[in-house]
Amino acid sequence: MQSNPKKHWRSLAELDGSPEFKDLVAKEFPGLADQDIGEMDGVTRRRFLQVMGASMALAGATSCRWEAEEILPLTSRPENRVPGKALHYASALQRSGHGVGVTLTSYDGRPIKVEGNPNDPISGGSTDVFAQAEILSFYDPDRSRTPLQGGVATDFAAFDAFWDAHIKGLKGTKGAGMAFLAEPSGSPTDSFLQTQALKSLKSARWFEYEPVSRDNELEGARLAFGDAYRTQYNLAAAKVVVSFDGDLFTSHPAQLKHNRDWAAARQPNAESMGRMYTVESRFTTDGGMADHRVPMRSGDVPVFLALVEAFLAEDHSLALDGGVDRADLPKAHAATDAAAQKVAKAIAKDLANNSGRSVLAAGPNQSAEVHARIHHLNAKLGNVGRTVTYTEEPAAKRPTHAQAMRDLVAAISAGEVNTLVIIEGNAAYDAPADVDFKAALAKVEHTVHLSLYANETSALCGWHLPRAHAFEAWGDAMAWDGTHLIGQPTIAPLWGARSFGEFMATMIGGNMPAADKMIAKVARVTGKDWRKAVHDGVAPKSLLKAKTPALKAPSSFRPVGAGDAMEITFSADTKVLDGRFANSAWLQELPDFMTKLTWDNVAMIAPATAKKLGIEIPVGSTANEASLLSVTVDGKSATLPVYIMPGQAKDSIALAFGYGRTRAGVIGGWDGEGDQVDPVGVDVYPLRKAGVFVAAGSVKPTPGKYPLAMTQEHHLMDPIGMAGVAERTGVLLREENLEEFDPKANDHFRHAVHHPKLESLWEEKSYEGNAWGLSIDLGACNGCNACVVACQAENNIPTVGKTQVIHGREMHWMRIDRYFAGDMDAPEMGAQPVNCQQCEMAPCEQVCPVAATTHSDDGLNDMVYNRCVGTRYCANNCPFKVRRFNYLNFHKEFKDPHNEVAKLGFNPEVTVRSRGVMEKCTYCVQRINEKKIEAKNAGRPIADGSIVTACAQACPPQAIVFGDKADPTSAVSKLHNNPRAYEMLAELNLKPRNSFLAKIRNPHPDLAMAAPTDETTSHEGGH
Amino acid sequence: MSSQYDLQIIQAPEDPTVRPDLVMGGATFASIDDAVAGVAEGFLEKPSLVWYAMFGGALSILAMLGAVVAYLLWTGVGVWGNQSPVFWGWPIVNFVFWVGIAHAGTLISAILFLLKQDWRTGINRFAEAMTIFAVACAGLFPAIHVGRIWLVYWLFPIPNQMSMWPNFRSPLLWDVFAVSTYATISLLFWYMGLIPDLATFRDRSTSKLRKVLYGLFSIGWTGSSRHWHRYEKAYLILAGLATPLVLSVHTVVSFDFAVAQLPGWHSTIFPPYFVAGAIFSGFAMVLTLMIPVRSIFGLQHIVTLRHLDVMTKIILATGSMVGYAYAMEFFIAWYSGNPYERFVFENRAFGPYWWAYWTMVSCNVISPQLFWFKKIRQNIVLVWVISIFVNIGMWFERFVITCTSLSRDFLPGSWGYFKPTAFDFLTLLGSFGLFFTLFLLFIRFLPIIAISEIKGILQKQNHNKASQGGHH
Repeated sequence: MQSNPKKHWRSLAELDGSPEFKDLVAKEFPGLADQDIGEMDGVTRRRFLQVMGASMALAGATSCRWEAEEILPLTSRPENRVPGKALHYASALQRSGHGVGVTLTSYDGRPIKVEGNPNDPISGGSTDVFAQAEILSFYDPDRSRTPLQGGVATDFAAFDAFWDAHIKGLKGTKGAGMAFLAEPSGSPTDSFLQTQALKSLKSARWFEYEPVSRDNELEGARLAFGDAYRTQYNLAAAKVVVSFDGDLFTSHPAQLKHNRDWAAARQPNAESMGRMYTVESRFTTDGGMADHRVPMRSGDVPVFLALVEAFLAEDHSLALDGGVDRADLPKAHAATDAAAQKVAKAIAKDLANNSGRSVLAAGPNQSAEVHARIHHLNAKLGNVGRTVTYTEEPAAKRPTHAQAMRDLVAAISAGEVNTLVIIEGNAAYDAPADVDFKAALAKVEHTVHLSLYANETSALCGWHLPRAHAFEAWGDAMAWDGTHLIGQPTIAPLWGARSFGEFMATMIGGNMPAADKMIAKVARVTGKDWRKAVHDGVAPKSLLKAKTPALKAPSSFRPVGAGDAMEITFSADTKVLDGRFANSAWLQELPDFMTKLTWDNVAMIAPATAKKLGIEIPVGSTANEASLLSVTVDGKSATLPVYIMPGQAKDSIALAFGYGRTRAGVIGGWDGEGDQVDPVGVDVYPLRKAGVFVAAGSVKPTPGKYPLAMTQEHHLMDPIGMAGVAERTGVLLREENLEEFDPKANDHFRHAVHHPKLESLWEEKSYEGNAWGLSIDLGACNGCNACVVACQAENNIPTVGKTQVIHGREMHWMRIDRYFAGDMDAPEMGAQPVNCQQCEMAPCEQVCPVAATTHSDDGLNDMVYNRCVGTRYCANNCPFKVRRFNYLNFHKEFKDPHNEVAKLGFNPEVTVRSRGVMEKCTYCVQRINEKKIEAKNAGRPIADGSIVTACAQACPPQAIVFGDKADPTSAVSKLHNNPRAYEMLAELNLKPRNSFLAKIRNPHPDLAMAAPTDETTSHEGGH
Repeated sequence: MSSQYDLQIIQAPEDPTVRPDLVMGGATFASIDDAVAGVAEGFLEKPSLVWYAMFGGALSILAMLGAVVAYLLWTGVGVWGNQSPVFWGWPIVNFVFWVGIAHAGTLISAILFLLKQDWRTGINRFAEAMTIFAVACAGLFPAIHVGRIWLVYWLFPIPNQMSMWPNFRSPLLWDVFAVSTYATISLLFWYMGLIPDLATFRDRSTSKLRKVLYGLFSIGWTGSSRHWHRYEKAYLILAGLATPLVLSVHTVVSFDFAVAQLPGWHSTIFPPYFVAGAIFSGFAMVLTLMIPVRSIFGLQHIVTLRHLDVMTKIILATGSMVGYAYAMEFFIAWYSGNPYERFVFENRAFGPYWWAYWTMVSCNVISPQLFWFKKIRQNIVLVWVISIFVNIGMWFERFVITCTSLSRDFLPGSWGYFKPTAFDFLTLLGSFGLFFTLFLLFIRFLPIIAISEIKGILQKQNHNKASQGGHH
């Protein structure tokens, strides 16, 4: 309040600034203890701007917090800072110990949008859904705001008083009885601090736990090489990729790079096009992208791998020691039946023919033996050093997470731990079922939990400390390939919080250097190089050295496959992961890329399994009423709604973690103080033992129904509907097999639908100057949803909640239509992102009675919110149904003072729409205009590629390209002239500005089936 | 249920050359005055408990509608089941339903007047009143269904500081003009016709208040031949003006659908099909209301079985037209070779909304076919029941057109299933509250039968009888 000459007070005591009053305030409003008394909740705008200004000014220069530094308002405007103009800062996020380089867009000191950092070789400028949703989590009003002692709000001073005394005692005993439980960190500086802290606390023990880890991969490398190494794939050089229960394009820490590289290798115009095989139990992105996907129980996948090996030996003399003859493989088995034999033979043939140009990969659900075997196979096929390389593994020395958790609980039970410091994580929620962490935790005398949220674990700890968000503190992280990512703070902590480094510094004591200096020291850069590293977000030195590890002799590999029992597979959810994002409304409401399900987790079962269990497919008015299934593993049961998933392996039930949170917040579930919120979904951690991903269990249908909120009707519906979908899928989402595809036949796909000459009722508008257009490559799109969340973040799109999604009122401007084709037991999948097609002859414009939607000169179909009265006629007449209507006030929650802080996350360049107004994709008109103005001021034309829409920017495989169609040299013009290009529903004379590039599949000639779009179906489309 | 007059007609010997009288029971001018004015005056002397009960019921439902609309204004149109892709749900269904009903009145008063169909006199006042009230109900829905109700006036071409005109290409704007013109002309026409009868009421009034009020609204009618001369000229002109409107209103309403490119809406058959449907539903509603009213107030000699018979025949004719339109839609969907169009119709009949489609077909196509049988036409209870079926069927027709077409349009990725909420039901019910409140007030305070016109045909009837007698 320094700048405010008029000081308002609430009482004379306050005006006096008496210590009693300050104490009182500290008790009442703990977060404010060290703030000016004059501010109520969270951060006021003025305070916020002051702090922002200061942190911005100081950001590049020096550190933030554990060297005491004053934050003062700016007295003069620094260079390059124009109020209302965005600045971009490099930052680094990390998940499960793997860094993601990001760039933050910041307006007036507040970050509002996350983009990928192009300097990060993994990101390459793209992001996944989690990075996109980080902004919402950052401004989440439910984030922890104050330290808690025994669940009661207190302040850092109280904690420090306790801790200083306590740590002194511990240091006296060299940390005897002290233990740390941390989630894995990818920050080299964090490891440095950890080492420092453990120097003076030699007897203290450090445990790392993560419920969903890649430990099988680690163990597999240990089996194959004798030591853990990290595998790096170079898919750009690959011609054949075989994914065994894989996650290359789904949950792999380098999936962004994999997607980008593989999209390049899949270009059908190139001389030869990559081919992909996936063998998996649940339908993942890997399966969606595969030319051949074999649904198979996870437990049977090793058998299939052995079958491929057997064919390699039999047909191509590529035998690997320890392999098994085809004759000795289990007979009458799903993994060795005729269909599987055929595919395995084809895979073997492809692998043999593409020596050194193939990649075999197994997912984290597969056992260490499978991983080890795949290392051997990759070597045998000559891939190592070409498509598969190895680096050091930073986690090489640590035990598996399952083991760490067992050890910790054993140590506590043995009475060896009296002080437990928990860094992030939520073990009370996600600890394995066979390790009673909660009971153990209760036995520890002193417990401290440093975390972003006061979660289930915090509730059971003596102390909870709010942890600073990555945007609020200096930080660094290691990307999967070893790139050292540097993140600078872009904003002071919203509510006073400590970073991991700060917390450790209090323990180490002495004069710790400031955070940035410490990171610079770890990165071994100084001066100008350091400034550049901060600017780029990437330090010059890689943290992981390339290795060429020697393989040990392969051990015998004789898989027997899954037993007769029902197989239960566990995985992190595609939206809330292991539960950490459960309080993110964007992610909860994000339609899962396969099921299109929001706000719930389900038991995914195959249509055949449903039949066996007598579960009917719900249709018509009860289409969203799911049957219930009780799943039992080792005597523990959970009841989940059933989702009948085409392509799910028979007799395999897929469950996802991350739901059923009880201390997530008002979004994910809350049973603490204040308003109670039911948990979203069902917690399946209680079914899962340590380190287990695939278990044998039993299932039983349970009476009752449960409503599911899906944004797309279930694929399995009434016969008429299914016939209708089947008929038009190939017309809307056009595809062809590589064999039939003629790269020289221009407009081939445009002619897939025959129609008479299209004539207009009136003189058509002509466009001069720019003509914005978008191109979406359906061959590259994997349906990952990054564009959907990016659009939501960029355009202030509200979430509406489960009930409203059931009502069909979700607001996403960008949606991804998912279609299946072929056999329901093993279908092909296609994903088609649909946003406003910006039709030049827009049917919406013609019917709006108040002219609220009209055309701009550059051909954009503009939506004038102020003029809209909400007749919704435009949406009825939109054949793409991309218009979204504000049926209710979807921003109501911001009226609550507690939630006001979330308003800071809005993009100030985009209007927040009121109730009763129609909205839709604008092609990110705010971004267009920003660049337009820049170009005009500079007196130059707008450079191609300078305007990037939010969806295009986020897209990992770079399937979305935006640009000026009027410029024949622009990338988008070229794509519109690509032989694969077509416009959806062009026969309606809409002249859409969006074009799609048809999907080209590349089936193995021995396995080729006709692609769904053959002449007969395409000819029927709209005459 | 059949009164003595009905029995007279039923029991009359089969003779196609003889038509039953339009006014029966040896009525005189005075007895007609007594019969019609008696309805309203009866309430004055002995307030009927039945009326109060019904009015109380209707008024409470209207009050409920008020509460629902207030809640709607406060919360947003999300209180209804409208969603994506079914952006128009029950409000628009109800709108088209009520506009349709509003068709019978003007058709009877204008077109049948020009065609010199004397039988119209027994029912025209009643049908016109029903038209006005139905238009009021219809007008409510487009106004409250928009997202920002407080800006709904932007649909009118009012000069404003933004220099913004509405979009004249939009059928919704045409709708605004069509419906408001229709409402205005119908009201004027109705009021014009009322003037001589209001004067009769004035002259018969016993209370001062009634005398003043009826006097005010009969604007000095004395029944002089000059008055009659002017009156009949004006009536004829208004009839001429109203005639094209009967056809145009529902044509324009059908454009809301036909001009859109949605499969299932985008169809040139819509204008005639909608007009036929509107007349169909309008007559059904007249029957639904008239049958109880004539027996409660003993007007069977004025609204005779012959009137009902003619109306059932019109229902039969228009019902068959509607049935033909349904069949033709299917034929064209197949014949056009447009897969989207074909799918919409298959989906209507056999998709998730099959029940709505077959309810519509049973009520609209099958049930009126029973009117081929004279026995059924003369069974008042059955006629009444069938008329209600037709009302239900016509509501479902609009539901089928609006909701099933929208629920599954071009891209399967955006398909959905519409489910109404409690507020959808309450709003529909509430509109009936509005309708019946107005209707019950009409019964109580205004001549429900056009006295002067009945007198006109009575005179003609007596004259014909006299001249026939002279020939013997």
